[in-house]
Amino acid sequence: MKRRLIYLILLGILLYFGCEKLSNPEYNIDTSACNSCGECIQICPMDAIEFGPDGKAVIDQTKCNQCGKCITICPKDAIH
Amino acid sequence: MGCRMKKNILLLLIIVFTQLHLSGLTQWMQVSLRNFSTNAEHDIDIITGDTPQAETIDTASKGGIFWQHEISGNLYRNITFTLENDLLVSEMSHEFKNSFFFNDARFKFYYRNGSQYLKLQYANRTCNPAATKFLNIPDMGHNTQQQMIHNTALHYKGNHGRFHISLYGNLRNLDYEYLTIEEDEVFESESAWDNDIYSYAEFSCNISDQWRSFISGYYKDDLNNSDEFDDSNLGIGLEFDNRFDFFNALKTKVVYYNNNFDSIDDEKDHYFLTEARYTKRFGNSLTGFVTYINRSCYDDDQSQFFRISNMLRVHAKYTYQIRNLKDSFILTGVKYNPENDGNLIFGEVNQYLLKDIYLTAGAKYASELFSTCFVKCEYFITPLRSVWINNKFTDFNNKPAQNIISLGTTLIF
Repeated sequence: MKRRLIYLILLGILLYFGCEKLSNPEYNIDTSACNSCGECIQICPMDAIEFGPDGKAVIDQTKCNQCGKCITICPKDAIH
Repeated sequence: MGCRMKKNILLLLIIVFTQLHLSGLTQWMQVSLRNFSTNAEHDIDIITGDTPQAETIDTASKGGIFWQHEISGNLYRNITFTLENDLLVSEMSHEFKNSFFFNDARFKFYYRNGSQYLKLQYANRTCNPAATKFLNIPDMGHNTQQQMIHNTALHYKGNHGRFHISLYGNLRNLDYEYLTIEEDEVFESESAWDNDIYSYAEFSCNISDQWRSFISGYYKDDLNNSDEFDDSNLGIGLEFDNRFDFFNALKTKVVYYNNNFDSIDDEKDHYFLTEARYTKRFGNSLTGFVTYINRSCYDDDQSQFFRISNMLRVHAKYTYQIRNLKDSFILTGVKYNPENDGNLIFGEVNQYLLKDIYLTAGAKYASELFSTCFVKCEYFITPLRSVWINNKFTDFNNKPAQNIISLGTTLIF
């Protein structure tokens, strides 16, 4: 198991330092942290968030304007 | 359309409630009175957003009531249902909400039979236009206002030996109004619908007890536009999920998506998602987890990888007193999310005070976005009934600070 963890850490370092940052941000939901409260749905000014198949919030990237309001309101800090 | 929809909802309610006597019901209800206050300057129009030319706006404290109700039970042998309803009636304020008067109802029916699972869901959100802000619907400018949203979704999951299938479809209708300017500068309000279809399919195979491979397809069709806001992708991925023992568990997932959309950057056509979550227990009192999520993409034209976002979350919880009603605990954690300015640190304490009274307090600090804290005191009248008072204060970096006091009760019966 330790070997797997080391591989994961190395992969993370590679993915973080090995790539240039994209100019436009993108917001997504960590479904393991989302508690389906719907606060982000009520605040999104673009009507871009709705519940997905597993009952967790999903952001429609074609509607999202990256305003970031959802990230400030999420009680579980599930948006990144 | 509205009249027909009301009849349908009424019919659905009658059908459901005539069946309720067939089995026991579980109800959960939470009602709270809210008071909102802010230190906002008179420079924000709460209807249209940031407009420095706005007239003087009342920033006095505002009241409201929030009622959440959930009923669940069995209809037949393998069919269960859940009715959820959230009603917010509040005065307009600077609070981060689109609507201050809405009713959100969700009807969910589940069928479970061994390896088969089916969910049918209808959700309806009705807003009072007089207490609702404008939305920014793509292609419609800034004067659209949501009136009602319908979501009709169907989700099927089935296991066939080592193979699994998941199918999902959602038809979404947004009923909105917008203003048109006539030649003589008379504004006229018109109604319109924004219709979207979301569909998702996933086929997976268990390679071993820990490893799973899957392919998935996602398709979104914006029925109002030709294809500008359509979105589709194909994914292929590998998942590892193993609980090594009672104290250690690891779940990882690596997925490649081939995106096809016109309204998003071409750099994201080749999209990579990497997720890892390691959970660790130290005895019965201390638990924690580490989550790492990376999103990257590869641009064909520039022959280069780009990172979209990284999120590292470390979370630990120490339970120092186990009680029947609520445990007493301390939890703390950090989230590292530099690409979206989402770095933050948080902590929470739940403490048993005295006979059936608990105190919960927490704080959160995100250097780029906000700092917030809350205190909640809850008294359990019985194990299933409690009354509580909660105060939450949030200081935003680029928005007015706000404070919400809630006095509520939670009932399970």
